[in-house]
Amino acid sequence: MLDYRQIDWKLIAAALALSLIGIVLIFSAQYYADSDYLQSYYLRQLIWLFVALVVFTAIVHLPFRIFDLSAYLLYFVVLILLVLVLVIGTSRGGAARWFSFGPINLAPSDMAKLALVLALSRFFAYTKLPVVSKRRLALSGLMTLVPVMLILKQPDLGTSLVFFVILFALWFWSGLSPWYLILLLSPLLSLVTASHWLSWAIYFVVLLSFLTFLKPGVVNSTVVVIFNLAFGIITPFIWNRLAEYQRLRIKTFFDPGMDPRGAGYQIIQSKIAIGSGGILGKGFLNGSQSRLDFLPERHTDFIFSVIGEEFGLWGALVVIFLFGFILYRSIRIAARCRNRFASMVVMGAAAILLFQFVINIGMTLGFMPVTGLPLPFISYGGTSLVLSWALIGLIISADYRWQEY
Amino acid sequence: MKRTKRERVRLGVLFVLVSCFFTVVTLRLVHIQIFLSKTYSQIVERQSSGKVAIPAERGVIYDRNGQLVAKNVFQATLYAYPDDKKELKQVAAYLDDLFDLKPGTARSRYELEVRKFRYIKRCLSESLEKRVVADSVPPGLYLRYESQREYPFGPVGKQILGFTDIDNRGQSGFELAFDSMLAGQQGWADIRRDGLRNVFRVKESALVKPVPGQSPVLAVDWRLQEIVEEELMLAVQKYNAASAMAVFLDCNSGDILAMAHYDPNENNRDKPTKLRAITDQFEPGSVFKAFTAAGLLEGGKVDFDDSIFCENGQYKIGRRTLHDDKELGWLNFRKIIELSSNIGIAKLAVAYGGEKLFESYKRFGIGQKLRCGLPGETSGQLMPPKTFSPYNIAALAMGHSVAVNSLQLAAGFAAIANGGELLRPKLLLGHVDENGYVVGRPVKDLIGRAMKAGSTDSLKAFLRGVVVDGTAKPVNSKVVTIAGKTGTAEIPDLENRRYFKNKFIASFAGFFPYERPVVAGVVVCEAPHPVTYGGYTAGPAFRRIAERYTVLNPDQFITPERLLVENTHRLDKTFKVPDFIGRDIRQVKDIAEQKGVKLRGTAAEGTVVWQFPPADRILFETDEVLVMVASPNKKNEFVMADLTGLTVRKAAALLNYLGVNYTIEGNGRVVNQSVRPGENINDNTSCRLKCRPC
Repeated sequence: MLDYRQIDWKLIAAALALSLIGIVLIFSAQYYADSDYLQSYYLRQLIWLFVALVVFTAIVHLPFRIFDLSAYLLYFVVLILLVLVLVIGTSRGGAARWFSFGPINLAPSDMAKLALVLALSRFFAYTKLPVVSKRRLALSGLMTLVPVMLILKQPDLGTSLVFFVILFALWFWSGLSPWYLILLLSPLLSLVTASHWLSWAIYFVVLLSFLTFLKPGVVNSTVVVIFNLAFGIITPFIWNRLAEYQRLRIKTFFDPGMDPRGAGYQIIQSKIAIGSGGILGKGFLNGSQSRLDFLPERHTDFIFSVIGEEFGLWGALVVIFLFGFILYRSIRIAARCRNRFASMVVMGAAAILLFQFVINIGMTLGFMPVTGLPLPFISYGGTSLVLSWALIGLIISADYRWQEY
Repeated sequence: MKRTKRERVRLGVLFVLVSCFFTVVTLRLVHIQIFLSKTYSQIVERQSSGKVAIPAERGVIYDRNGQLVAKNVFQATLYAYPDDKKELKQVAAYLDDLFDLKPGTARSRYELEVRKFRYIKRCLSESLEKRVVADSVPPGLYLRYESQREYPFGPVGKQILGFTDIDNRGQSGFELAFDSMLAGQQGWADIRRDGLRNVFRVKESALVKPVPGQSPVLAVDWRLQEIVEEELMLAVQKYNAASAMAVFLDCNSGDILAMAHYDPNENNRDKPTKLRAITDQFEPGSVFKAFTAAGLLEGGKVDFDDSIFCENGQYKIGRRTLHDDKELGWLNFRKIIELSSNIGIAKLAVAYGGEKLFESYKRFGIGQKLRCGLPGETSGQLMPPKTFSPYNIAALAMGHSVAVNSLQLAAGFAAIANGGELLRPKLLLGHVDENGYVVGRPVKDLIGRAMKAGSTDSLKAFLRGVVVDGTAKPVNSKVVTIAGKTGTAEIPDLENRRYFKNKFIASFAGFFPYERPVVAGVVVCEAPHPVTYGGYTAGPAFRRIAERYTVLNPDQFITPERLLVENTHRLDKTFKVPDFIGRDIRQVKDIAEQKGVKLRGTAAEGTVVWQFPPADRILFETDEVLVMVASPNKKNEFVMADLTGLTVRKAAALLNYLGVNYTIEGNGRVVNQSVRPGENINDNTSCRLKCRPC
């Protein structure tokens, strides 16, 4: 049996608070929905919370070693599921695919996040390869790319990004210098800056001086420069070859305001909802924006707008505080874990939560693109909730056993 | 715990990074929720609220007898507003079918586009309307009812009334001249919309009810108008005239009783743009001698017994020669008028003096607009000649070198008939107030005195003589005593700058009954042939009109005072329109049934957002009230809805949203509510719900 005094109850309380806030918000978001089915979403979420707590309890009670041992197995099982879902899964409106078991939908991409965290943690925890070795980077990169490719096929860009975030977080936590991370990201910067030759030239000067300062070695520097050049040259070329609507789609991804009736509609309505909430909010069940069907996806992706509208700045800050608290605790736990694998897992879990949190809230506040990533704990969706609690379970478990090697 | 330096740096970087994220999010939140809050709240207000115009009812028009001569009917308009491509396709297919078009043509013909408003057909025919209502029209295609003018008397009086365009704006005649009076003021309803553009709530407080247009009562007697139009047509046919026109006035009040023209070649009889009786001016010829005689009588210089030599039909005056139609010898003043001697009147006029005559014409309103209120009225022409040479004076006295319109002639003869008062021809008697009473001031609008009181009697006797013994014997009637003056004037040939030798303006102006004149008027025939004389063409037409009108009014026919002096004349068989706006349609139907109001609605359930005509209007029993109902929606009540049968949850949700305090007894479904359905809700309303498990 566990010694319950050793468990980080505050962390659990924060996560539980967020989950309950989520249920309240889902209740509110669908309160005036036209069908009883939609109105009962909060009940379904309540059941899912129960499931999530069971999963959480199980994870906490299991010895941590089990995750270590089963990490690769789980990774391969998930890969198979990802392939399967492409074949027999259901999807709606071009979003992520899932398996349908009657009323229950399971999205394997959520499981894949967990599996990747475990697999990469195991890889980084036990590999003897030096931190900056190309093989180490390439192998971990490959482990990430395989599920990413499968998920991109679904197609789900937002979720794919989560995998890269896990990879970068664990690279970072396993000791890769931030400078190298920047170098690894540099081709992406090239992609962006190459939209104009001047910005690209300036960027390149910065990059080159950066390389001289960092001295990563001739080969590495050359690779970085070549990649940057390649991306920079190819970008305008590809850009000009794209059809107008494709360009528009990319542009609106970054600037939804360009398309106020399409992609931008949600963002604009979300900002309106949050903004009209003001400091104190309009009160529970009184959000007119979410009420009057102006705000789409208000119980899932845009649930944060409901908080902002009905509970105002204070409500939103409470949620942000709770997330901040969870992350602060998680990072502390990751830092003190003696077991390298556990530390990695905690960091990966924290990265998922942080990234989804920032992207989702950033999206509702209009400074992040619309990706369809749910807000952990709060957004409606069973697998998302279970995943969030599984991550919390791993964190709590790692914390409980922090002294074990 | 010991950490390597690298580890500490890493933690530091991580901490900074995470803090950055949180700071950005928080700052953004503060920015949006504090600094932009006002802006976004306004957007919320803007996008969820809107205004719907509530058209005002155009005033209906009555004639002096309370007869409805212009009314409003509702006609269905079909319009398209497809929301998406699917709806567009369905709409196009339906329209192809409805109008029997080749498949695929409706789309381009009606320029259908997604989210674009397009009229398909305004004023739908009844059969099409029925079909559209019966068919389940695809979404994206809608019917709307618009008010359109209808004139119960068809073309009769249309020249006076004018017409309105498809948007119900006056385009000519009375409809144009009094458009602002008739149109009223459009109202507004503040509505709430949800994200799917469903209208769901109307705030009663923010309802600006439309001000309906006033319903005027015209001075025109439609019975006489009908007679006049008929007789003009008959006259044109009988006397081979190019056209004919007539004006009849109540000579004691100036009321315009009838005004019309008939031209067989006129092709837009449905939409007349011109009322020739007030627009067309012409040289009057001998009818004008009545005014000359009036001037001479006013001057008091004429001795009635003095005989004047009429030169046997030929008289040289200056370098020109005057002719009489017959060779006349010695005649006294009375005979000169009766037989219409040009030479006789010329001699008298020259003796009297041009300037003085000119002044007396002016007193009769010649050369001035009488301002009857209708558009296009002309002033006629009365120009002082360069010199009042004998010929110029003679021409003027005979009704040449002067132009008048029919209204001026009629008004002048009315002045003679009523004892010398030139009255402004009046078109408007008043309007019907909200209680159905006619409001108006029966005062006559005196322009000035044309003749001294008492000096008209002899002139009237002369004019009676014209009919009895003079040039207008065919006008003499056994039914009514008519007095008047004939005119037969050459029509100027403008191209050759001379007069047509064989085309005449034949006219008869006069009044009846002679003993106590009530009606004065003029009938003018353009170019009748082969009979050209006024006394034998326009005259008999005048007589027939006078006779028929007299028969219609055995008790000395028109005494307008009876209609106007007291507000005792109530239009019966009317009802007052109840206020339906904001009520549930089912309830509206109940009220309508109770009050015997015929109702025409667009939906079976929902809230009435506007009605037509608006509340408190007075309608005839046969009229119906159109109500428009907001799309049925669960959230669309602002008066208390019928909650029975609803689950407690839904009922509470509704009450909550409406801002009604409520208490719930029991659970399950609502079986009873303390605030009855249809009652207005305000902030203090509180409602007790009794519920029972189902």
